[in-house]
Amino acid sequence: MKTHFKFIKFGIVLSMLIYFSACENDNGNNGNETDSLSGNVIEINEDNLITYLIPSPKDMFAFTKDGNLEYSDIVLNKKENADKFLDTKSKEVGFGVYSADLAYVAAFNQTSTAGEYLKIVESLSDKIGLGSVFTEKLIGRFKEVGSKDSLLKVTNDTYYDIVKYLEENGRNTSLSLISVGGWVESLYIVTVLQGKFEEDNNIIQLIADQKNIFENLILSLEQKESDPNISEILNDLKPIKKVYDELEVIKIENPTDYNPTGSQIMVGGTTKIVITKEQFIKLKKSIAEVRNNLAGSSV
Amino acid sequence: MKSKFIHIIVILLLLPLFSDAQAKCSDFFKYRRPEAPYEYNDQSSSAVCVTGQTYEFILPLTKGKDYRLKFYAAAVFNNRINFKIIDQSNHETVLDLPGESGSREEGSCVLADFWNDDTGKSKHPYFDFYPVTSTTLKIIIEVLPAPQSESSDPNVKKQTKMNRGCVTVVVLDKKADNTSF
Repeated sequence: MKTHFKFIKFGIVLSMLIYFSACENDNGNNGNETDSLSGNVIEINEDNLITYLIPSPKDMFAFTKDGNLEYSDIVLNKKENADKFLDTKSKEVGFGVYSADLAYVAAFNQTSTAGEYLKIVESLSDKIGLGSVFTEKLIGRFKEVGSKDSLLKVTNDTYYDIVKYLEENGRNTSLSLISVGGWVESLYIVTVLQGKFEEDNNIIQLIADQKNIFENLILSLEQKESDPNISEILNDLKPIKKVYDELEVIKIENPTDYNPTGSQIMVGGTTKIVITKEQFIKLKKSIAEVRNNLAGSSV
Repeated sequence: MKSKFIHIIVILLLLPLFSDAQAKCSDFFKYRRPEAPYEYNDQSSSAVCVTGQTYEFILPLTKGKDYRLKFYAAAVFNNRINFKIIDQSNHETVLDLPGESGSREEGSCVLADFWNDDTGKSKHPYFDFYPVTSTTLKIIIEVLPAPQSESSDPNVKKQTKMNRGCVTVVVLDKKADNTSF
């Protein structure tokens, strides 16, 4: 009877602990709202009522391929740099960097290089607790690229599985660090491939337009600034922030490029982000600096 | 007999945990998938929401792509959610609709399926966006309070039930039909 009583007591304490910890972790819902039924106080953290969305690296490479940029493996982070990541932060950022490299080689259908970078991504995933994403089935899909699946589809599905895993396991900080690595590496690749500044160039405009995405990335990181790894990465990104802050957003007086189809809702078109040649050169330099720091590259 | 009793008590004690688990977003991943000709966009997101709160999703759109947005919400909310989308470039509201409308006609609501005469099937609402220049959308999701329970006794305070559940924003994209890339 004594044992049974202890068991019940343990059950009460355990369920209370789990229940209240679940409430706290629930997407940051904490504040001063009273549930009149139960009388429980659920705290609301206003910051987390806003979700800043960040695109994955594949978005950028879809455009660069269409923009007639040539493929070059010089832009990829060197394979041996993967061994330089020692702490969790650098491993997770590095995972994002190599995932972007993988997305880039996949966009240009470089099967052999993709295999090499997949091995690095798989190895890093193991080190940051994402090993379970790389199942035998997934590795099998990579082996059958060309006959059953496209390389791009398999890499996209892998990224999807990683995001799903991180979201389901509440690893928001990891997701943020991976996003930073992925975004910086994709922008580095595009700025290197583009080379020089040209007026009215779509790729240059795409690089300038990343201002919106970068702002989202920063705001998203600032929500988690109390985490030392996030605070550190915010500091790492300062050189890029300095240049993007300088880019002017101008009003378009006579917009002409309007041609929506069907029931499409037209958005944008009234403003445009402008980048000058000097700003482009500065941005390129700052991105290379940040990327080489994050990617473990000494270039 | 005593053993059974103890098991029942433990199960009852753990019940709150399971009801909370229903508010998680794992089940909503089934909606986050490509729909030809649109590809899945990784900016799709889910959040556990609470009645009476307003949530925002800040979504950058890139010129050169056509976007499709779809929304899903946990049944616990009974579609009592208002959706507003603001184009951040000019601060104009480009969509302002309830989760469910009386008519359930296409374009009249965001969550309730509508009947599509062309396909002879019901369809989940979607909204297509064409960014003339790269811009950012602010998606405002207002989860309305659940109706208050009535009591004939004037001394009984009206009670508001607080519900928790998942709300998902699905983002799809494709290369724009009229792109200069």
